[in-house]
Amino acid sequence: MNLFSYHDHKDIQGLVLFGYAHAPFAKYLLLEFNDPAGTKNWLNDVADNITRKSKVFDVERDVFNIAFTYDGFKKLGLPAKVLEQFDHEFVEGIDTDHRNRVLGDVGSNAPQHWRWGGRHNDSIDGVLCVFARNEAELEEDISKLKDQLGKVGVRVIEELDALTLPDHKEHFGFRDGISEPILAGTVKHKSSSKTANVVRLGEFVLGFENEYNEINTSPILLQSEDKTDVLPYRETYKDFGRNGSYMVFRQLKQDVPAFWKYMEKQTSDTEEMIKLASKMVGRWPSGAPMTSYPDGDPDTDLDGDQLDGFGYRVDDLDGHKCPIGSHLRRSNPRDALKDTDDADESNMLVNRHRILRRGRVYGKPSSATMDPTELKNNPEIEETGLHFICFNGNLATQFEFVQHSWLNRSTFQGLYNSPDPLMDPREDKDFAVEGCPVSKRYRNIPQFVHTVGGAYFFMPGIRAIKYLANV
Amino acid sequence: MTPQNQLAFVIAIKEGDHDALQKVLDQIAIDPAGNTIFPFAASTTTHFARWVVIPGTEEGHYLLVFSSNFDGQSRRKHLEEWFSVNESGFDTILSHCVGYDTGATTQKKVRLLQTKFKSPAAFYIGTRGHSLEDIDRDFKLRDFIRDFVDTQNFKVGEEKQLIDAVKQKVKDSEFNWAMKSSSYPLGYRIKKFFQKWYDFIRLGLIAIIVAIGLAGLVGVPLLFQLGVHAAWLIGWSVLTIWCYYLLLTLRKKEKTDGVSHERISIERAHALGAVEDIYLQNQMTHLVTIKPGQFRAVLSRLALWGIYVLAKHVFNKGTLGGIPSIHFARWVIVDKRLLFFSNFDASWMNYLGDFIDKASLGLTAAWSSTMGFPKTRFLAFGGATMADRFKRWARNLQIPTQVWYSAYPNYSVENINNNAKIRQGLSASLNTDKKRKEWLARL
Repeated sequence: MNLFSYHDHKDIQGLVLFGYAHAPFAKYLLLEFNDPAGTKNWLNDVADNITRKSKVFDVERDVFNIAFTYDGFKKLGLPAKVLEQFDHEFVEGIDTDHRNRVLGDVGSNAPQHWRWGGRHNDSIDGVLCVFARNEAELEEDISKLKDQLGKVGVRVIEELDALTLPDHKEHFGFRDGISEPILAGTVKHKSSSKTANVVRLGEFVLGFENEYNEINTSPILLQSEDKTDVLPYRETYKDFGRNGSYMVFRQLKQDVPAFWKYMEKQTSDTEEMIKLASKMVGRWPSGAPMTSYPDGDPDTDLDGDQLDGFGYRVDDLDGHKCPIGSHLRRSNPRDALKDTDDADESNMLVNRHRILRRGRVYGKPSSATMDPTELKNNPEIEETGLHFICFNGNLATQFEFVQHSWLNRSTFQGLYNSPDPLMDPREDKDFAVEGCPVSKRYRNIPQFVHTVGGAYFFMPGIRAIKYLANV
Repeated sequence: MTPQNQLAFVIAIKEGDHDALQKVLDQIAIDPAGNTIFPFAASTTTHFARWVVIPGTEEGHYLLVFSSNFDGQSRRKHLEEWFSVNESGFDTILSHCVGYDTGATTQKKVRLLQTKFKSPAAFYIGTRGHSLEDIDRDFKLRDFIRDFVDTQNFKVGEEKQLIDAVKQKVKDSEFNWAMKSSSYPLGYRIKKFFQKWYDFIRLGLIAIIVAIGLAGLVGVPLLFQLGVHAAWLIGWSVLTIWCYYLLLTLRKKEKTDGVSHERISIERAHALGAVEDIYLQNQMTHLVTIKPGQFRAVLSRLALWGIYVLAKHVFNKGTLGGIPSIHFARWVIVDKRLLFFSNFDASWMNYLGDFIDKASLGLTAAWSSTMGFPKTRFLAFGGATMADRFKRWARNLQIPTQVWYSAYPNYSVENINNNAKIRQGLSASLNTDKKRKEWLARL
């Protein structure tokens, strides 16, 4: 259970394992199913057209993937016996009092202010993620899909636009989407010399061994209960979850001028301003890691290893180059967890809490070149932010763990009152830039990022969708 | 420095009084520190405390457990101190318990509760030696120093000047008490020294006897060929047979004992989660029946005792087998059941993850003789390494803690121990560049 078989390649939806860089335009449609029978017919018809892993590089039009909430599965008639076997985080959904505390959805982030996904908003049943090479093709593909959906009683609750900024930057002006686990057994793994970042398939796709050498629990049923006989096997059972993945979707609004104005206020010139922001992010705007390029942004094209093949332990354990509290370092501490003296062990522990990020930005930036000074001073054209999407095999030990134990934990790795400088909703937080003779402390960092929507989905394999369409 | 100790007493709840008692505890739980019935903050020496109702061994019977971690050594004195601050609180709660007479003298009440004391089978302290008062004023001291440092502009290489300036600043302030070094009382240090050697010798002897026994498989035939006296041979053979018999019994039990496959119900996850992650710290009360039979009873006591010795003498610097987030943890045996209390930083998931990632050997040994525990090998292997199964087992046997109190719910073990090192640095010489840099990094 360590490699994808021929059947798995054809079964896994493309978005789980690929970012679709060739299709820079995207839209996410949040769906409500009002006619379950009609919706199932439609699912049955389109199941084979859903973009899957094996076809990612072949299809140019109608690139789309679909995922469901617990409510959606229930509406479509997935048997209670299957439903109850999902992880309880998914069953409960993203908006419970406890989960709000875990994810930092409190204060101005609280779901009562959300536009979608909260308990006060319309209940969401599914999400359709559509990707295209240009705006015209996207509009065409979307209108075709919406036409079909309208006929089967599916209401589009919300249409969320996404785009791709120059050099894959996010709205604060930093290149994003660089750190990504390498999947064990894939071509990329075999061609890479570095092993620290290699993570087993089961961490992201159900049905495979994870970093604990276990196969995640998955909703299974008796062979006799799979009447159409489409589901893959798990030993003698049929496995609804195999090749599926839990999907987190959060809309994060970014206050770009506030971010740069804070940096400006703390520093004496533009260079220092950019450096402080980079210390908080962990990378320079170009994406160059602080830990390898502590003195300045090299602003040259770096290869994959230079961008992501680094560790902290040898040269930067004390955080003098890349602060321990920076967003980059706390969302993936790599070989530098203080809990152990051993780099390999640190990597091993960290790799039990990884996610595959698939999000995209939204909103037009106020500066076409993403220049920090312009971003700071230009009036905003429209709201900007990130549609954060990630996949994981276990919401509690991966996404929620990273969010709570690493990002928003104010005492992460022995720090004082220092949750993530970018993500945490508090306004009385500190940020320490380690250095000689003593660290420099920045205080009362305002909230730059606001959660305005979110939901937990499950993106099933194609065969599971066919089963679902016929229950 | 001040030693810390623990207290637990277990007392039967009167039949039919369970609901009424629950109501009282619910009242207290709204504000454990400051409520009017049993305000925990009234004690200046209590770090953590809890009131928990656990099921009795008979249907419909319940037991009330009080547990605390405090500064000092004597459990009786700690209880007396509690009574002197809040006897009426005890009366309100314990009037629902068997044998507690609210009209009796304080002395009699304390004496009754003393008979209900449960000594721990194992006990761990993550912030050893730091009294409640120390913890509080060390935080203030660190803030004071940090605020001062923020106003200074020393350059790279001026570490010594900066430290001298800090020391001068502290000396001239209300924090000048921090300039004196502190250590445990002499009597306590002597007692600890002898205890340590006594414990290690006992632990060593057991290990040596078992090792000799197991080695007999090779040793006995060898000595037989050398023609050693028969009495020696017989003695060794008996020991060897006995050791292997026990080992085989263990392996047989490990292979055939049932393990739990139960899933965590949504209701349970929801109920436990509802009171978690409100503060930085969380707590756990866990209750599981020890497998039947004398063999498992003795084995679990032995394993816990081993952990006790290691926790006391080896893991006494802030981490338990690599876990840096436990303030106080304790195992207590109640009616052939293993009751576990823990006070820790961060989420339950983080805590259980640490168990699995860093301390699976010790924890497997601690719980390997309890019902439903994931399959173990040779007592300490397997078990908790089966991440998913172990988490489900742990969560399913976790019981709600009716009242939980922490005197400092947002302080981490790491911060507390680091603060103490900052204070200790003020009275140390810090005479090398390395020492100075290390101390400054702690700020």
